[in-house]
Amino acid sequence: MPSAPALLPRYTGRNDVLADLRSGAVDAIREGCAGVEQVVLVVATDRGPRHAMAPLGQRVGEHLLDLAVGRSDDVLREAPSPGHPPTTGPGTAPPAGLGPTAPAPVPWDASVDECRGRGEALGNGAPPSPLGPGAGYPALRMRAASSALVVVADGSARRGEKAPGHLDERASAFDHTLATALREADPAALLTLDPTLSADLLAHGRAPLQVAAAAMLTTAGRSSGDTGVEPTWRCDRVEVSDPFGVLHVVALLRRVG
Amino acid sequence: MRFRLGQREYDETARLVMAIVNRTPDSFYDKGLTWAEDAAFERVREVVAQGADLVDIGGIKAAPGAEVDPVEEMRRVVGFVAKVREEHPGLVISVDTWRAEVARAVCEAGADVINDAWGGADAELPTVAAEFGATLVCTHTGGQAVRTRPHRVEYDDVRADIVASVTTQAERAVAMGVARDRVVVDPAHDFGKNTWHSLEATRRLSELVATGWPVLVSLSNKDFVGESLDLPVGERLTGTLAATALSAWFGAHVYRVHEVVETRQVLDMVSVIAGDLSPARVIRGLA
Repeated sequence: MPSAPALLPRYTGRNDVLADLRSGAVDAIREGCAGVEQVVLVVATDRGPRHAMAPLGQRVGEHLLDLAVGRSDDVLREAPSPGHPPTTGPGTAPPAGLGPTAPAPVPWDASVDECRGRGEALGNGAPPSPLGPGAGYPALRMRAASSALVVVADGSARRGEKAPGHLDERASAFDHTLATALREADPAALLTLDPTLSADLLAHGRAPLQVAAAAMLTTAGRSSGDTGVEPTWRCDRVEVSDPFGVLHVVALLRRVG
Repeated sequence: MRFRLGQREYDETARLVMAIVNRTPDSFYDKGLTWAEDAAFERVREVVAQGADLVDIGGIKAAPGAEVDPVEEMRRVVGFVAKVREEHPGLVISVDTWRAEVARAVCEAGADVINDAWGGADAELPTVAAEFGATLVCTHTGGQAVRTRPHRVEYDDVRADIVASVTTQAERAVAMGVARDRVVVDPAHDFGKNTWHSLEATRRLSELVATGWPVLVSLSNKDFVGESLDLPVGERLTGTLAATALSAWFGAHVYRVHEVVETRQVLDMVSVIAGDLSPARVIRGLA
């Protein structure tokens, strides 16, 4: 799932610029989380935050989950009338209808090894790390057959001269690697993304994606009873867009064995 | 505070564009541009498309000029109002007249608002508004006679005179049966005022807003703008928009204007800054 702030009601103007992106993300969550007993929301901490709110990825993810279960439709409203600007709460309550949700924040600049460790822990059924705001959530254990990871992550933000980070020629190849890994349901490829390059490219999704990748690999092995087996995942959908120089990806991966 | 114009209801954050549609051959700004009925219809279609919230149809120029008796005034506006109502069923229609008999005829033809630009010159006007459930605009003229220019007018406190005059008219209208939420007040820039007075009325507009009555301002291309900037008619848009922005910030609700597009943008910008309206399209730094 993308983590664009403009997906949140508080940042949405009268013209809902990212309506299609939000709609696609919500559809994917509905499709991927249907019937699961619990949802783990894997997000990155903010980079140099100047606020005391939960990480942006967590707030966006929770909002998308809310929309997926029909608990919040405020962003689908008509243009706000004068005197009633769009507002949103801090988004700290677990959404109803998808089972309990737990945020699993990871430092945005965590090393690959740290991400791998966090992901393996999740895959092995440990509760998400308490890092970051997560108070009030039940301690969940990820169970392979009835859990879903919702990963809030973006590609680079330097895909053109109008991009937030201006053009970096390396962005295209980096994003291609990321998108291909998702399209081919290849968690091992996600683990090859370089943290330094990711940071240079303002790719905020690298750490959560690598946590998820490690969880996928661990879950696959654990479910088969053999930690040496190759993961068996498939990609059911992937939508890539970058209208503002930031790579947004909506992807749905399922474990098939 | 809530108020109604026609079938529509608004709150204190409303910033509405009232587009001027002259059925006159000699108004100061357009100089007869919409004197022909077809041109006037086209003007209505244009301002509606541009986002006007209501139109203000007038059959007599405010300044001194050729006598226009009630029969001629009705000939200019009544049939036109009826046709505008037919073509634009949901449009709020105001008519600029001080005459009760004209007000009655246009209300029968479908007008929603009586804009009494000469401040109660005809004492029976509120009776007509009450009878038809129309909104009445109560205007400050400082006692100036209809269609005359101020000459050596002075006030001890023009702001106080405005507040006292329009609130008295408003309460009188309510006492005569006009719904309280169908009364609007207008400080009437340049009417019975020199430029200093109009500037003071603008500068202290929030004190009129504080009375709780919805406030209409008619600033468009007026002489107080021209004298402030030493610019002739035709070169006063920027000054008008500056006064519009400040009036919006001070809390005025209805803006009687010639230029709809520019006014709409200014009012929307003020509404956005005030937090009363979301920005139209936001993505910078948020993708």
